[in-house]
Amino acid sequence: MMFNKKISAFGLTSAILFSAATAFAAENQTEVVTQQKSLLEKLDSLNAAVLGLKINGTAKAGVLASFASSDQYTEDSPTQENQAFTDVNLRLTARPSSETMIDVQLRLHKDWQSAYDENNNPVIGHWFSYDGTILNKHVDFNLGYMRVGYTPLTINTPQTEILQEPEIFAEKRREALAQRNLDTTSRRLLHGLNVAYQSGSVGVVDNITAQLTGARLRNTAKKLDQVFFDFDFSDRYLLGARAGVEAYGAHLGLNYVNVFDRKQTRRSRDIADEDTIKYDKNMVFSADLSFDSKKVLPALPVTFGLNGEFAMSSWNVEREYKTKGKKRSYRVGQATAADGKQFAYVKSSLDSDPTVVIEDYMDMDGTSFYADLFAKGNISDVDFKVSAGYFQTDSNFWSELASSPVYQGRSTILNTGALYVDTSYADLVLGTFGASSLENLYFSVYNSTTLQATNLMTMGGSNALSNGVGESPYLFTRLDNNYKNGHFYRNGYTGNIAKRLELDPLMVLDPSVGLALPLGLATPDRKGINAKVDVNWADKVFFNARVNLVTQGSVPGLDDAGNVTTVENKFTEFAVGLGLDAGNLAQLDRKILVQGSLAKGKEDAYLKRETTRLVAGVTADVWGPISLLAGFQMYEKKFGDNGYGIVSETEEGYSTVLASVTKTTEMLIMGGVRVKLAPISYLTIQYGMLQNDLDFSVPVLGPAGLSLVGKNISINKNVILADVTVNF
Amino acid sequence: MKKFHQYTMILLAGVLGACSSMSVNDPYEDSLPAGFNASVYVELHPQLRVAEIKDYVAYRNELVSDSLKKAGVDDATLSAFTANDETAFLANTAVAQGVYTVLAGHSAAEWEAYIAQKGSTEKEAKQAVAKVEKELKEFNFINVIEDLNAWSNVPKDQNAYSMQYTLYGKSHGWAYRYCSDSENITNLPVPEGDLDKGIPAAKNPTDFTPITYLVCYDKVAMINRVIQ
Repeated sequence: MMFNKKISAFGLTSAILFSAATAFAAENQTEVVTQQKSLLEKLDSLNAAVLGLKINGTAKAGVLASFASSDQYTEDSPTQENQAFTDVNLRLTARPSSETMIDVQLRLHKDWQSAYDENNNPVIGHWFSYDGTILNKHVDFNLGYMRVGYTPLTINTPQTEILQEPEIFAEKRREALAQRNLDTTSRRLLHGLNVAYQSGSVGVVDNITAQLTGARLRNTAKKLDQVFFDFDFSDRYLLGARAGVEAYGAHLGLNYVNVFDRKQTRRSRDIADEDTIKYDKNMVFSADLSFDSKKVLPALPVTFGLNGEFAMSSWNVEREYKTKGKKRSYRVGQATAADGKQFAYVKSSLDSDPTVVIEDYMDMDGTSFYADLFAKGNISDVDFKVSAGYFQTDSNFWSELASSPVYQGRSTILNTGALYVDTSYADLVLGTFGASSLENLYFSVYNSTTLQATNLMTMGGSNALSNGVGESPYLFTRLDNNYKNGHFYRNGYTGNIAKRLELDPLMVLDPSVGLALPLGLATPDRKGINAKVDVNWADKVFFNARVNLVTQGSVPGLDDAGNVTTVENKFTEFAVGLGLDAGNLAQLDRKILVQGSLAKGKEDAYLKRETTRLVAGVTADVWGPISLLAGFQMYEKKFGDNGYGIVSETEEGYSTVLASVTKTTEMLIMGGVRVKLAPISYLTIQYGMLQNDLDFSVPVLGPAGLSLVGKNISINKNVILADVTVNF
Repeated sequence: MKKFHQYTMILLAGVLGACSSMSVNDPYEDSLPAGFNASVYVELHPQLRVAEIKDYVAYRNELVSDSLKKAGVDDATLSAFTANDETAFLANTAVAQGVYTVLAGHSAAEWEAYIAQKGSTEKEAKQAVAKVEKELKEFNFINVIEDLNAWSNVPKDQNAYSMQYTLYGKSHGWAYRYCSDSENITNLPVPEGDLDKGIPAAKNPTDFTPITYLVCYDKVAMINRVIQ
């Protein structure tokens, strides 16, 4: 094995890459892709000369103790949860030549509490790819895991945008994403083959591009993996292609994406009589156009331009199920007549004849477009970018690969073992509506645990190992002491892609992604305008503003006479953020970054939601190697009128509102010190306080009939984190 | 040679095409004699209809007991229920007599004998009664108040009758239609040796000689006649 001398240089570049990812997350999403790419290209050239095998990564040893309190807990409820671990992420890169690279990322995780139970701890490989830039740098390719982004209406990941998010939060979010192999860019995590061609300058044409992407996707969209070993026997595929041409600062591109269920693998198993299977096929074809004046008018201090895209989608679903048909069949029988004579006759009978029926279930075609105008430039140390645009998406439009945000939320991350008193409705409300969104945004738990019957995948009431017959008497002996480890997550993010029919309707209720556009620009049935301003004065003062005025075409509502009908829903969203680097302003040699932002969102119909997010934070280099990081975030979500009803539906189709949530109030305060032990090695000690209040009402039957009684779930969590992180 | 090959291919395609266009609505049509009518055939051989009814009753009773089992009725309750129903069916003498004489085709004398033997303690009489009752029970719709309509409403499967004729009736010299008035006079009766004895061929296969001519039924003389 050859260890390269340039390890430290590479470590630094990977650190730059990580921080760059967040820095650009707030930028325009298409922009992120290009900026990332140019950065990667720089890194490529930096590493191009380095051949052979390299190992780098991060090692982290830490503790996370969470102390929860709530008056809804039972007296004997556990209130403390500890995580203590050593987590080593290894990145092995092998470069047989300067053109190509094999990238394998491994994770070793040891939970200190189970250090003795788990004997040998397996290494989990979570990233395998072979990437390269070949044929005189004309062709880039990725094989294996990859991140691919086309355009906001074709392949794109809608990201959570929190303006001026303090570093202490951003870092936590990035960490939670990284555990799922995700990042903060708009590119999508895929597994397959991606090939991109660039011609370079040809005559008047600056560049001709062509790209082909093929990937296998998970068939079923799940909110979260229940267990690490989560598998499915059916396949789902993506075929994507695009081509573009650039000249005189303008770019014209054509994009095509086709996502479909593969029927053959599914059909290798028989359908159960009561089963119904839906095969989904989603195609999107789009043309994108952009222009940037920098190329033709380089002398101007301000450049302007536009970005636009028009997309057509087709979405159809085939449904396959069994009918309990009957078939007449004949066989020869023997009988005796009244006179005692025997004879043969033909006996006809009806036998059950289940046949598989394939029918068209959904067929929708829709269009979507957006057009943004932008101006950016630098006038006396002030960097600015202003953009405004209009977008319109049909209710029939569907672009699956552009519509699944990585943030899903709603799970409980910390203190999952807590027990609630029966009258608290905690199981109902937290189990459906979900827990704190701030907890989901910023916290994650990763464990490795010895596998046994209780944490292996189960089907219905029975264990997968004893399917259909309940629990086998051999169940525990079969699994006892096999010392196999599974890795388990508690994480609010996922890279899975949701089909339209499987889209979690509750997911869109948490506007951590966006109240108006929960599925990004491709959200169906939306039209409106958006505007963005980003200003940076010499890295001393930062200012951002966002405005979204969006109309949703039809949501269920009431007309003047009180009848149920469909009405328009208008969203108003705005956000402003301000950051000041006091150190830079006072011309000190250190960073003292003070940040804050306010975001408000509102809808005037449907659930009449109102959201407020208040963010503040400090990132300061105090003295020498010691920095102080602090953050505050408050998030409030109100549901107007009747609240959000958690509904239970009976088999007969009657629905009953079991509880209705009227308001959630969340707060997260974090603060701590970061000590630089050595270059890119840090000791971090942090304290956090997380508060989650849920107001809801439940119908109670009293002597005076049914009445709504207000209830509240209030959970406080005090978190202490300490870790040593070494990047190498 | 090459041309020849081409021609054969075309010829072959033509043959295949011709075959595939021969759509047959009733696959037994060709094997049936001209003028065959399943309704007439079953009228001539009511035992086919009786067998059909018995099968239907058995099938339907199975459905009833299955659905009762699904509803949570245990085996003991179910068999008691069935026994009760059968007793009630046999107790209704008028219906039972109708079933036995009209439907099953037994003679009035046989019915009289059954009634006379009923209640006797003699071994032979008991056996005879049990035999009749066993046959009667085969017509009993469980959980249905007996109504002669129930039997006449049993679906008639004409395909099954036609198939029976091709598979069995024809070779056993079963008449497939009534003889015309002139045939009643001119045609010879089926020889005694060719009449269906009603003994399964499987018991002594060499005894069986298939009848090669068609047979009609002379309803005046009440005999089978040979169709020339």
